[in-house]
Amino acid sequence: MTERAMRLVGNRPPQVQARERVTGEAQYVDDLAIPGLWHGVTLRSPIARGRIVEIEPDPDFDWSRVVLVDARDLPGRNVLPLILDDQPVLAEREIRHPFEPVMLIAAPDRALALEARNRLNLRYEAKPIAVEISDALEARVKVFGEDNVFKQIDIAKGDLEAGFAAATIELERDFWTGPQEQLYMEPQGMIAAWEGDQLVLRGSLQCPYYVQAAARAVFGLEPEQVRVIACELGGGFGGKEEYPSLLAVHAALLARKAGRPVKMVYDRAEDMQATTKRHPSQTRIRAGIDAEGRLTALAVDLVLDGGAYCTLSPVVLSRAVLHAGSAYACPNVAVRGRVVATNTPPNGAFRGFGAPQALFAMETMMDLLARAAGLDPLEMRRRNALRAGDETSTGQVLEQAAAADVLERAAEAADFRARRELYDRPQTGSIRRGIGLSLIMHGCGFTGAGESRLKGRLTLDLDARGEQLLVQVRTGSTDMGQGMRTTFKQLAAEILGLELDEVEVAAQDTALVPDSGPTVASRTLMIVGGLVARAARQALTSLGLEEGAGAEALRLALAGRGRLEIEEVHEPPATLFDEDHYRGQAYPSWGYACTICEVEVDMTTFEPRIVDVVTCQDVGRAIHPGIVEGQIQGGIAQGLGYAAFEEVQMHDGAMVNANFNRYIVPTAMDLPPIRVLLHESGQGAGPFGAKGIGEMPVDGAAPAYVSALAQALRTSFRELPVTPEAIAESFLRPRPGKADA
Amino acid sequence: MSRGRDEVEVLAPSSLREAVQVLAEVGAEAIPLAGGSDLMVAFRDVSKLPRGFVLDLLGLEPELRGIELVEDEVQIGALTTVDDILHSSLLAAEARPLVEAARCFGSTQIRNRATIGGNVMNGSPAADSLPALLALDARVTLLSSEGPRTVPLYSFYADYRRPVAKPSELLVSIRIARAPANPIESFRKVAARRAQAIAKVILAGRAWDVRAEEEGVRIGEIRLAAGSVGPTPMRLFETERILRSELLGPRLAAEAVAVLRSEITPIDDLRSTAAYRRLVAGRLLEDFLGSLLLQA
Repeated sequence: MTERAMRLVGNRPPQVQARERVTGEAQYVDDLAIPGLWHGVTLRSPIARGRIVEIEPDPDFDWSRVVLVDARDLPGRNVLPLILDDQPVLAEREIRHPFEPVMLIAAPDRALALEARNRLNLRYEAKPIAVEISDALEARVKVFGEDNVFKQIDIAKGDLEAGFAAATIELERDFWTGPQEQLYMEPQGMIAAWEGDQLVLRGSLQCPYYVQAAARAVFGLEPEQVRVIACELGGGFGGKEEYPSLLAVHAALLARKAGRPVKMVYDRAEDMQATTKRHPSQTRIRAGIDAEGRLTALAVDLVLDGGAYCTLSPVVLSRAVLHAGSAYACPNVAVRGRVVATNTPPNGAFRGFGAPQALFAMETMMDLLARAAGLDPLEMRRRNALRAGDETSTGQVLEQAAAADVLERAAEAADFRARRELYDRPQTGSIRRGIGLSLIMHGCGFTGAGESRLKGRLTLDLDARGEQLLVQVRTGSTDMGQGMRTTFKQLAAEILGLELDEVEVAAQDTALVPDSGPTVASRTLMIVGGLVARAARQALTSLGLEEGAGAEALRLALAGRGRLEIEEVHEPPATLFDEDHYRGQAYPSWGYACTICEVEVDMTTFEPRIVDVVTCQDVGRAIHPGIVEGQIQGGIAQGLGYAAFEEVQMHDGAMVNANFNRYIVPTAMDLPPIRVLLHESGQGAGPFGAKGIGEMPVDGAAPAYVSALAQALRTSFRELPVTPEAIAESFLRPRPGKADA
Repeated sequence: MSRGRDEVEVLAPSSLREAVQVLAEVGAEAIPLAGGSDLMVAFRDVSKLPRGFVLDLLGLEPELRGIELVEDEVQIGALTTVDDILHSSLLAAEARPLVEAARCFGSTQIRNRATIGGNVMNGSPAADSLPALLALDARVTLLSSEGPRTVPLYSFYADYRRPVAKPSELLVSIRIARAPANPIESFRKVAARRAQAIAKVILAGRAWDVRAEEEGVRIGEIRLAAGSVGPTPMRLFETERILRSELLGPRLAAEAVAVLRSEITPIDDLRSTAAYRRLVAGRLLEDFLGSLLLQA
């Protein structure tokens, strides 16, 4: 890398499309005016498990006005292809979860489609259900296979029993987390149109090539016959990683039968009831520490609830088990992870992707161990934090580990030790106070050999044939608010020596851009942004130019050939991680974060108030510090929602509080300013040393909050979310179950 | 079978007289619509769409919107918005609990639309304004073509969201008692977040003629009301009676809390639990009684 000072990297230019998003000019899928468009809706199962007996259309309704689609309308196999190919596009005979799609209806307007849906009488025979993790493990009701286990992963390192033998303190505790709703502002939406033999799909989606693959498989089409266009995206958070594939296939089935374009946009209730959520979890941790408070042995048994179909659950489980030990060195580790099937809607990708569940359990356990050892939470973490040269549970030796750095910086900024001591003194008033912290690490990019399989591609096109030099970045990565378009422009412009407005990012349209891999796993900047930087440097090299050459030099160099197109492919060696034994380099980079949270509890009402949040996060390099801080603040807000507010209430496997006034997310009035310290180690695997930071901020919020609450109330909480009702209960009736010390 | 949206007729009377005539004729099939902040949400459910007439009350604003002193009472027109209440200097002086209720009511947008009459007629047990109005001895005036009648708010709800108003009657105003000398007042709403949340528990209170005596504090007059702890907003008559019966001290306070907890009938629902509501309602009363002891 050159020693040149950065012109654009590290700046805070306005985000691409920011103005349009704020003013409402941005066109989301539901805003698109398409001539002859019909509207599609979905008939869903009212029960968690059973057999469809019959669907009776009301004879008094004029069915010629609408189009109906059921499983018989599928051209081939009734399977939505993903990891296990177990999920039908439409339920045929068996119902396996509430709100499972059974039939599709399209009509010239949405009201008529809804009216038609009301005139369909779905008759069924209900069967016994399994809706909790414990039901799944008992396996009296078999949702998947003989044991309801979609996938099991084991990690083993060192000699566990020797580790426990060396321990002076040993604890075993259980932890639980509930589901969480992504709650993107824009609900799921898709428009399907058959133009000749080409299927065109426009939608709110994170991964255009996932949607293309699903549609190709269901309809038996070639790649060029399925064109997927990602519209302006009103949030994703993982909720638009795999789910849009199902919606796209549904809309395409209706469009095919209706012979016209069909739009399907879920309303909020349907979106919350039917689409994927964060996996609920149940984790048992047994841990031993020596006389100095250092971990000697760690045994984790983690179970995720996958819901009725496998979706991406094995990958979520993989990330969960790889994060089970948090940011600590421990020589003897055994992790067993399982993801099980229940009769609830499938759970799926959600920012953090298994890590928040595992890290809540481990971080809360670290507080319990600290208490048992008579150490404060900060000291406990100092003694155990991973350092450069240490190895993780899979034996990955860390070349760089900023765990201790972020811990100390955050602790100093929050004045942690003094406040912790202050709140340790007796408190008697109507307000009780506490401060807590968490230290976590988050693997950036795809787990293990994932990137080797993906082979993400990106094209950089330099065109000097017209009056203006045109530089275009072509990527299938989408911008769901995380700022991809802005940071990619910064990267290309920085290296080529251009102004930001001299670089264009092409629309996310499979007809125009290559498959850069999915927009997930905090990989977009680190991996695909890395391809932008590589392509830009490659262009300079082939033109014989220096970094930062500038528009004029590029025009001159291009004068002969007119145009230069560079394609870059990300192909790391597949041998770095052994997926059979979970050994080796699990992630190309790990980010580290310490989050400190201070709370007050009103002892009249048991209402907590979050009064301060300080976090220090190792982001490698902030290409756009404003975007990075925004990601961190948003992620922490989402994590605090997970910890303190957001409760998916289920009855017989179905979400019953599926609206904004019953599913409570925090507003600006419920959160303090979130103080963000960026730790720029410059040692990430991404461009200019950047790491992926999309997900890491979510991970540490819940354990930090719960740690603070535990101090304020002189108890501990081992189940999320902690509602005022749960606080009241723990205060009045300390139970040896879920809220002991 | 429900009728479609287009089969509903919207009537827009331009005077109160015209409105009550319309109600005399078609009241049983008509839904009066004020700010719409409850009804427009309800109408999203096709089965709750109106079937006959919607009576748009906007034209009655000149007659029914406003806050004024009428004799010894404060009269609030039924179309007065929650935002009007929040910014009324008259109410700030005479009815602080109601202003506090307005402060935590919905959002700015909702406060601009929602009317006090709509909140009373919708009759939700969780309505923010109703415990405050109950604690302020509110009476509601209903008008029909036969003339007006006045009903105390504490007897206005027959059951869950069932006001005793007849279909031919229109709520025209709410009257509340002026503030007595040296009132001690409280309005507390407990909800799942600090804005845009529906109450789990509300407790409103007003006490006056409160005097410190040698053995404790004598409460001359007290009004207590609670929300979200039963099928209707509740005036807590039994709790009030106990508190007037003896000097206030720790023993009476504990007794009053026990009476309150037996007087209310909270349930488990999606917002909270009966146990939490019962517990917190009692603790809110303890807090209020504590402020009486301090301020007496």
